[in-house]
Amino acid sequence: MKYLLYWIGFPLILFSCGIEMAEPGSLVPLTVSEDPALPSAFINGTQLHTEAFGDPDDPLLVVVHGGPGGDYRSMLSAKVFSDHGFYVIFYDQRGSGLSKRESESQYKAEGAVRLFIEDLHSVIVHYRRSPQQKVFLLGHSWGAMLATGFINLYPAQVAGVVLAEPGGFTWSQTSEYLSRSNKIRFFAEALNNAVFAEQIIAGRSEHEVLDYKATFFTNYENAPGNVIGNPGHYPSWRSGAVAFQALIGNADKYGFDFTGNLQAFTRQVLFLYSEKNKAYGPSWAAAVAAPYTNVRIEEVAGCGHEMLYFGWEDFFPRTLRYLNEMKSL
Amino acid sequence: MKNFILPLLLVVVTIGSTPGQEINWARADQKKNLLSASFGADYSSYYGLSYGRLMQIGGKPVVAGTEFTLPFGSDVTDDWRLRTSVQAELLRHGSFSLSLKPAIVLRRYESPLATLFNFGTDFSLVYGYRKPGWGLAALLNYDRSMSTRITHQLQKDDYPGARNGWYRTRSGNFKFGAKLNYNLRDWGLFLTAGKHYGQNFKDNPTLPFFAELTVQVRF
Repeated sequence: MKYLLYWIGFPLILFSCGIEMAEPGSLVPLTVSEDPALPSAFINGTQLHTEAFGDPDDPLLVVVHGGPGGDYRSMLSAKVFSDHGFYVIFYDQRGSGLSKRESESQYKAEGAVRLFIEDLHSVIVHYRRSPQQKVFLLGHSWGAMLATGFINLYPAQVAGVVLAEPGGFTWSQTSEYLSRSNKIRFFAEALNNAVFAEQIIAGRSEHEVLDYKATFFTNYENAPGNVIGNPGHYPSWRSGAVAFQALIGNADKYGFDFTGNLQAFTRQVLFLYSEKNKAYGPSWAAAVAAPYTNVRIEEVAGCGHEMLYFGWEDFFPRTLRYLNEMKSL
Repeated sequence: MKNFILPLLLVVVTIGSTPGQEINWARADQKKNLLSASFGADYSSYYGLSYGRLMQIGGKPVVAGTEFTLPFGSDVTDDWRLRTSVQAELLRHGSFSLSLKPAIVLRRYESPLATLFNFGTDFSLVYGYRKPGWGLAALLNYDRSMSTRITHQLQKDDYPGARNGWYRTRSGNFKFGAKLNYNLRDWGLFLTAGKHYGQNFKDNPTLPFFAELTVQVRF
């Protein structure tokens, strides 16, 4: 009886009270604009969550996370490069992770992808101490696409780049990859775990609510038997739902092509794909990497797409070897 | 199995005094009991059972019923929806009929991230052409979430500040669709399909379409 009273009577009373979903901090963490204790910087007209590790005079290694709408939490193992002579920079992209939320209109405008590239440019400018200081990029997934977009625009500014499973360097290539990696399994528990709650948390516009709802999609991405080879959940701060949805819509509407000027980048690229991502593999890696003139393609063993988190033991020595080689050139 | 206790209890409580889900009001020989099995796609793929009873209230026929649906998936008991409704014909002119179906909805969702237990309401308006053997109607539905108990699991690992408790989740989704039915003496087939939207027409469900096939036995 007590059980029934709790589950039926109590919520009926609570129809007019209870926690407001959009209340900052109740479902997802506060961002840098809400919590001054978080490390941040005002960069390119927004406030980014950003941290740096190591000697500021060492060559820069800028870590670019995936998504869009992801964050760098699962990539924090890369801090260790600061023990090997790199000044390691992390930042959550515009409107993502613990960075300040921004209006949807920023991601819908025709130049939105370019805006993300310019944010990366501004992060480099923010931390770089002299024009002689070398800049290396380490990008994962969407972050590897963004790093390539940056190199396509500023090939002379980058001394080396590690690209971990970029979906593609054009929108058509990326959508082809997404159709394999996000293939819908219509009768799977993973689908329920991702979308059933859309009838409970429905029709809302507040970013906090949309961010929370977007976390349910990690259930699909990391479900047992997932295509991209992740063994389970990996840590993140906040899904930037608005940035993700609007940027995907933007790419679908306007497209992008990061390959037009890649031949101007003649330094070697380390291109990594994971052993267990069934949507990727060596042939797709070769196809995506083709526009680069000097590429070293390697497989990271024992992991899937989230190789910086689940495959760190193999990822780290490969990446360090490459970075040390490029640093000495 | 404990996840089923509440919905089963509520089904037992409501049967005998409640619904019939799908009905063709044009049939004069209405049987009193309506038992239906359905499967379809609505957010995710699902299957379900419903029971309804035709009654006379103030000389007017009213169908009261309960439907219980489960999404497909390996964990049978973690997600479910229970909808208890009353359905009445509001208007009839010639072979055209307008009916209203208000409902109370209970839902449970569980994933590695969180468990949600939800109370909501649901209103359907159906207007269409009805003949004894068949019918075609337009459907407008509003499914409103009211209050939800959220118990975080993995989300708490990622963000220890996430608060467990009852949340105001007041908002909902619209459905616009069509219903086609074909009836013989003791059984009927109902096909419903359409598109759904968030009430702000921006935060729309990931799978934008819904469809359901229902087989009904009347006795």
